[in-house]
Amino acid sequence: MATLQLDENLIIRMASNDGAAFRELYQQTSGVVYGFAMSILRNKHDAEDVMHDAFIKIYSSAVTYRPSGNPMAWILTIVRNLCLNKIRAGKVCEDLSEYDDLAGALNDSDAVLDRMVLETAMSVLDAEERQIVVLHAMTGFRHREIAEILDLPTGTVLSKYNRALKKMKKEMETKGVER
Amino acid sequence: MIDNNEIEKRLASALNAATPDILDELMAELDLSEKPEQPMREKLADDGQERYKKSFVRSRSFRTLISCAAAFILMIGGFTVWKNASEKVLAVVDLDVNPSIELSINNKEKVVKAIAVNEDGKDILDGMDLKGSDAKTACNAIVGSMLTKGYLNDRSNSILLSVSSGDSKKGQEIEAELSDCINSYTSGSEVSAAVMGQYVDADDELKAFASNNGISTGKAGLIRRLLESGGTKMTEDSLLSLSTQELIVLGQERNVSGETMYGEAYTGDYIGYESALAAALSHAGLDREQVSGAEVEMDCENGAIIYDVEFRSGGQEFEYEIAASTGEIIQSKKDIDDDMDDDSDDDDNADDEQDDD
Repeated sequence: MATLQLDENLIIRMASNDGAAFRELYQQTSGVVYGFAMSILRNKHDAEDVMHDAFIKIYSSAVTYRPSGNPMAWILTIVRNLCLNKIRAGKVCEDLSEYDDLAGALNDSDAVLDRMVLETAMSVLDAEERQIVVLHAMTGFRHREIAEILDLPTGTVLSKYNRALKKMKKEMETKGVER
Repeated sequence: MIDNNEIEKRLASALNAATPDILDELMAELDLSEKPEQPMREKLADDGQERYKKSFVRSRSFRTLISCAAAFILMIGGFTVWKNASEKVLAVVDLDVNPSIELSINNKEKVVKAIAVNEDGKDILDGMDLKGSDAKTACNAIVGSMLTKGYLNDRSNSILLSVSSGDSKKGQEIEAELSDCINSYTSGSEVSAAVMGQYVDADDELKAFASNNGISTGKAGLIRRLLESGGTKMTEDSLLSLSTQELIVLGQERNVSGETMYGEAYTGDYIGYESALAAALSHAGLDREQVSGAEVEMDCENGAIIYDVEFRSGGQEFEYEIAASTGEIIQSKKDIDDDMDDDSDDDDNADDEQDDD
């Protein structure tokens, strides 16, 4: 899987109010930002709120960004903190029907299986498993990098990842998905 | 059977497809255009093209350093606002770390004038045009630049924000707002900063004291607060030689704070109260159990932070001055423990045991 490589200079340019850099950064990262927020909050409205706040925060914090070689981890930490704040503030209503609407938006016939995989991930995995699988799927990060972002031991990430995929496969088997 | 790779690919594809497009909304909210240079060029036309080139080149060549200083020059796009803004100064805001900067702001809380009070302040303001920008943005830009340039770091972690105004109620509101704003801003940085916010009644005497000594009115205000707090050896001259960090530490430790205090000023460079007492006891050849009424207080003498240590033992009263950074005994004094005695006011008489080691 290709790793999502984000050019650090985009953040540095963004600190200089460079609109083009912001656009490029948004285009490269919006899917991951939203997907990661969804994996934590499991509610599309809350995920969209966090996505909005995250990009504002990324922009306003660009001036304090210290090049570390992993700008994506910096962005994802911002997203995670905003999600956790939302949860702490009790503003999240985890609602699977919300998520059903989300999957319902994918009505392209070629996307039926995509939709089923997403449904499965959202319904059978626990919060940490969802985050690990989504980050792995969308960023291609190594388990060690995911462990750092989620503040978990690498071994935990690895075992949860394996367990999560097994659970998903089993669930899809019962739904009769064959490839 | 579907494999791991395909599961991940499909999951990513589904989430990407579900991601809402809020780019335009964000760009509008952040007031971002793709080409920031054009309005910037117009904005700085009055100041000459050279200045624009300088800041632009800088931002390209010092990619990691551009972060704050140059960033905000470009970020502050309130040209139109500036043209309409009133020049009348509502409040004066001083920001002191070691660099000292003074912002004059109008009733719309826009910066009318920004001046560097000392050399480090010039370094911070170099290339920054804060005129017309919102006071909060300007404060964050300055603090951001102090962080980037290393003036604000883990050891020198304190910011003094002082506001003075002819309208004291408004001035106090501005102080609370800006302290909060700076605290939020620094919370997102790697430095664990302390923010002391104070409202200063800047009378002519204070202004003259500040200007004669080349310090900000804010710093002068904190010195006045410390002197007025009493029960101390501090003198004006002694406090003048302290850094902002030292003054804030002293204020923090002696409970002489401004109206606002966020975070904690770093005191790790000092030996601490327990060690100061231990040093004095060791010099007196006494154990903790042999003394009573032990008191240790941070103070300042001859331009250095010290601990005043006092205790009683065997009918005698001991007083020590310990250098806060080294633990060195600067002065020791032993008197009869008798409130009524008639030679207790001696400073340097033969009874005193002087020790320079």
